[in-house]
Amino acid sequence: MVPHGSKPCAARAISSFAMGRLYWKIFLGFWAVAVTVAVATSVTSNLLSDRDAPRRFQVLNQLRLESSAVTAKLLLEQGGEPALRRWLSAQRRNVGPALLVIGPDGRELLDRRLPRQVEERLQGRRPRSERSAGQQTIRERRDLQRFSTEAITGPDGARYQLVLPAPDIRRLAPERRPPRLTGLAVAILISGFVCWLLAGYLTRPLRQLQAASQRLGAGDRGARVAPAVGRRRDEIGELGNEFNLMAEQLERAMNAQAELLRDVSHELRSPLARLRVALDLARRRAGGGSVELDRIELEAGRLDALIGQLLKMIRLRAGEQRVAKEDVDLATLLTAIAEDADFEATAQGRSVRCMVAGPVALRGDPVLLGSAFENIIRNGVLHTAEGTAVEVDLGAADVDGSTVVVTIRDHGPGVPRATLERLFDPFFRVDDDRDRATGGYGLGLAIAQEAVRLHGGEIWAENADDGGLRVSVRLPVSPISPG
Amino acid sequence: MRRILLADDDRELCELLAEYLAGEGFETDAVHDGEAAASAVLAGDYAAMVLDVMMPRLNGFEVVQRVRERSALPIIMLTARGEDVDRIIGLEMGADDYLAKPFNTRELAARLRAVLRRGTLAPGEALREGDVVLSPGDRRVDVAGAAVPVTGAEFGILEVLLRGAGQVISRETLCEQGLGRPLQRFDRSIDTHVSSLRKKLGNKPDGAARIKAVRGQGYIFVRDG
Repeated sequence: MVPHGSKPCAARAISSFAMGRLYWKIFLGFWAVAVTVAVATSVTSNLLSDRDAPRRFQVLNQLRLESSAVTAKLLLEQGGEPALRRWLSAQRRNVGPALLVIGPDGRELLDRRLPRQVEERLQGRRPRSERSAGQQTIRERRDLQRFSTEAITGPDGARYQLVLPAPDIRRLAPERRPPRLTGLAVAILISGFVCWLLAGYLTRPLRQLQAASQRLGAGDRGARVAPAVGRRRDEIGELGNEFNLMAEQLERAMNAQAELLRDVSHELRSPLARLRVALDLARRRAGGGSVELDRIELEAGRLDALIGQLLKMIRLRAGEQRVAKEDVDLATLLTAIAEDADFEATAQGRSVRCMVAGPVALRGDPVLLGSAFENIIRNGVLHTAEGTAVEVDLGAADVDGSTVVVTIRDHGPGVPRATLERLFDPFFRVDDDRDRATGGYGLGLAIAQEAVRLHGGEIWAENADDGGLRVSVRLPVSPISPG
Repeated sequence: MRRILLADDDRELCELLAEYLAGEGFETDAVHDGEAAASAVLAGDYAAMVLDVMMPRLNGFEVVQRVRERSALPIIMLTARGEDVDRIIGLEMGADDYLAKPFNTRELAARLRAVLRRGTLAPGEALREGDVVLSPGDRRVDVAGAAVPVTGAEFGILEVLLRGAGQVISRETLCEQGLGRPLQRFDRSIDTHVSSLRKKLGNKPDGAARIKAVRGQGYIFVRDG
């Protein structure tokens, strides 16, 4: 019972246990109840048995005495004293205190010695051992309890006194039992063990439920509660089944959505492919350059890129993407991407600056990683103010050498704090009016996030202190096993 | 006239392509399912095939596999954009090149010319390096006296590697000279072709690799001794 009684410190230690709070609540609660019951039972049974034993024997003794009196009277009437004597001798074989019968002459019928107190009483004397009035009365009362007497009258009017000493309670009902502490301790231990099993039985499925919903929340659509939980025929089992049903429907809905998106994208491809060929035919017929045809080609290209991105994101999210595991030098990869992006940005009066400390080797898919960084950098170019640069910074590996952080920072308007998280949602727009001109964030960052996640890394966005958005990517440097 | 077989289940696209390619000097026939593509290419006299991956009855990969059992005909596969796996499988199966669909038609014409050029350029005498013999005349590769079937792309790459045997050849050079087109960023087709070449050629009799990758630089065909 120690953990229950001791104060906040212990409570905090308990709540930090891996088993969780409910586990301890059930365990300690049930155990407390069990221990209380055990203690109460043991105490009351002790009290009851100690108090009742003498009274029970006294009553029994009284009964025996009374029935003996009836028998003795009958014997006296029919056979006189000799019959009574024979009966008494036969009685001697019985267990328990012997019945004494004092005749009219003041002697015991079988000439047995009378107990001292009885003798004294019969002779009308006070007990010798008296000291004070109080003591005496107590003793006397106790003496009276030790003997039961009954007087009978024979047919000739002679008075006989039946004396039945009380049985020695201390010998019969073994005195007071030694305190049952050992038994109590065993009971507490056993009940503790049972409560431990019970708490585990009740909380284990709940923990599994909790784990499953966490996985579901983290995006694992296949997360289910183990069938063992569902087989329980109680409320927890029902809860588990309901959870699985819900997860299934969720998965179906999400799959249907991805399926639809994929089908639509695939179906859009065929007309787009024909459009591209028709475009080239028209271009040839037009005999070279045409502003309108250039425009059509540009838009067809955008449509194609968008569909491609959509499909890529769907595939990444569904975990269908094959992720190559190659040695990649992040510095080389970033430099190459930044150079290309810089070339394109220059045309728009912007630039991309890449700062790398030195080669950083990691294992992963160069194509996937490349597209992730390309998306982030292009996004920066799209939003950075004219005349400013997007800064790509590859730091050295962190202190313990297990991860490296790449930051891509623009000098644009930044993103409202509240919507930073949603930046990685597909087609997220901070502000409809402004982003329509820039094309919003589209799918680039969503794809980047999936790609980084597949490499066991993390990506986050924040506003730089002096304005502009800073996207950071942390990637494990040591060999990893993606996907 | 160079006859090209177009295999795509999109009939309208085939018509448009036929019209465009005719203007580029190609004569085309079109088939619209995999079975027809496989039998037509083996029966007819074609210089090259443009093959869509997604087709009824036999998909593009199965067609490549079937054709490669009997013919080294140059094949350009049309893969769905973003389906990187398709591209890799296609090249591994023996396709010579690929284009992501929807593609730029001018790019398709250029690639077609590139694979055809590879097929016709065959001057000079056999290249020999150890037990590997490459005969440009009949586009044949022998290893230890036994013929090894290679695709046009693999032949082109092996030829470049053998001409420069013993020195590192960059992936850019391999792509331009071996495949007849410039290397694009993130383009892994060279690596796919080389890896399938390695498999086909096997190791040297002493167990050493014939073609080694030099990280960040390219590939080298290792000379004996």
